[in-house]
Amino acid sequence: MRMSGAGVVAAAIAVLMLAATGCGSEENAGAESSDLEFVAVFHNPPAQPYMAQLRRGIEDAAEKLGVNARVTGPEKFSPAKQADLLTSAIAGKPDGIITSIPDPRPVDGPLRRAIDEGIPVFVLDARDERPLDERIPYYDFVGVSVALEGELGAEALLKEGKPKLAVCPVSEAGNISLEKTCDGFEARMKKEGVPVDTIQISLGQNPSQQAADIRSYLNGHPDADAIFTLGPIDALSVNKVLEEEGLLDRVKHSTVVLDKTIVKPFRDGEIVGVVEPQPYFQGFMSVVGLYLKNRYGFEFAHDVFTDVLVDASDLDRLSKQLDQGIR
Amino acid sequence: MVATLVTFVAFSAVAPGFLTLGSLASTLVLAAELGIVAMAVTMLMISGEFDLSVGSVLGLSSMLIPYTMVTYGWPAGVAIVFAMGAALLIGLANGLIVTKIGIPSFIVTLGGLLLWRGMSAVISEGQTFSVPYESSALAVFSQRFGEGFSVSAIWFAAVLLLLAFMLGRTMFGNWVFASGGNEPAARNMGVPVDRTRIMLFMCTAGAAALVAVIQVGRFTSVDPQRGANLELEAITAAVVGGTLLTGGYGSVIGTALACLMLGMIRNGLVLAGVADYWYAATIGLLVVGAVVINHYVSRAARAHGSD
Repeated sequence: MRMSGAGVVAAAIAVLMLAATGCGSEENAGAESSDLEFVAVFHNPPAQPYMAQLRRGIEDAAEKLGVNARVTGPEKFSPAKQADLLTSAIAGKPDGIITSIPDPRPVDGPLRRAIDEGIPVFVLDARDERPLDERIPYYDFVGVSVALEGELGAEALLKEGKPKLAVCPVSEAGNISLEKTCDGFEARMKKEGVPVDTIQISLGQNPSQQAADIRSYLNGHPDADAIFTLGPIDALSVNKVLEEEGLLDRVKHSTVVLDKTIVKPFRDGEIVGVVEPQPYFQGFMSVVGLYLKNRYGFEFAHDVFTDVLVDASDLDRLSKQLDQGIR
Repeated sequence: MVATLVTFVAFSAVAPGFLTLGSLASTLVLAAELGIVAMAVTMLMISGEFDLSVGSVLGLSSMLIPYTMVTYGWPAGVAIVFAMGAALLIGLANGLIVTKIGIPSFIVTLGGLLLWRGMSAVISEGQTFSVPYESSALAVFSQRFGEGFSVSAIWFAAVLLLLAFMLGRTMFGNWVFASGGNEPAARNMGVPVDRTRIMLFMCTAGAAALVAVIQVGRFTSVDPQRGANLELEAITAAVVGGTLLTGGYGSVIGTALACLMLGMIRNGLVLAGVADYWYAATIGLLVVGAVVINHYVSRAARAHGSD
């Protein structure tokens, strides 16, 4: 049996209701479920804010479903280190692997080996973007479409008027997903005849350096009047530079991922739109997916995309979720 | 000094907008924050020790400010004092473990790098924390003026003057050079090597905390990765500024000039439209070049001394 993306969501809700009420066959399944062991291996540190939301979703779902879930990842962005961690995880013969694929090449071997050994692989956040016949045959994916993410970021800016020059700053060199997000942004902007610069900036761990990069670029490109940032840390640096340079009215800014740090500039209209990939939802769904696979043998047919474009009118609802720590 | 001037002239020629006040302000902000930490690290390196934990101490100090403000409702001033106090205690612990137990500083502070980075993540549970309101106490450390200039430049100048004076004009400065130049001889002459080094470990941690406050004041939020890799940048600046990795020789003025040069390179490459990757490559070349030059200079000095 194969399921659509909407089917996954419906099944997840049903499973949670059964788990919560203790109905159906869960009486017997309880003992079996507690034996289930899932391992999540990220490409970034699990302590990074975005990854922490994925982790929280995974851990909450595991607790609610009565399964064990461990989360690990490299100390910094590294698909190669991620591949090593996957190899270790697979050696433990878990009942499922949860992972992200910003770069498929390093993780191709370990993940195919896991699948060959009968370990279901659930992908979240970033998927293998290669053509279907080359793609790692993972069980399912819930996460972002990088191209869609870029398109939505462009849409938010285009609503404000046609920019003269748009910029997509990338702070994580070598992260193919980020570069493809900028490609999606550029493709949508080019449809409207807007030129796009994709530029490299410093990592957010040194916000002063990152802000200096952006400031230098804006000083050298006075035509730039639209910026699409790829995360809240980058967004905050850009917002700070625009504020300090008095450019908040002239340069429009959209970004990806809503967190508490950008609520104020978003509410004040300094950020015109946020593409929200809902990482908590992704993490939660990955555990539900593996649970369904292990317990009932369900199959899925389609990738499920979680990107939604939100504007400031959604903030009351979203703020409640931020306070709950689930967004 | 010459290398800094050459860098300035070169980017003035090839990078459009490099000579604007805004661009110079950007350079100064970068140089100031790195410089405050790098000058303290320079003093420690002259005394023959390393501190690889400065980036993580900066990260933890940064996190403690909004965390205590949000979680315990502490006023910003109290949170700042607490964060700085925590950093000084970490410096004290590093110094005591190195000098009293005899474990190499490289190992002790490598452990600190991991421990304090991990503690930032534990405290914040991986989340980003923001200061809940605008604070005049934080503004003291990060206020901006003119064409984008920051108070951090004044802190940079103050730390430079203080450390240059301490190193060049006081007994403590002599102890620093003596501790790194020839430790047994220094001990025989009554130099309090352990006390000197403990104070320098506290100085590097305190400098990291100062930059933490400056950054929190400006950006108002902190994530658990704040400050990562700062330790390498600080050592790079010290080496490019002429400090010997073997200890006993160096200058905080040289380090300050190196920080200005690194800031110019960073800023100039962006203005010249050169990809970010080239920054790391350029810095790598500079470090190797500086070490080679230092090697020949110290060999020539030894040869001159034996004549």
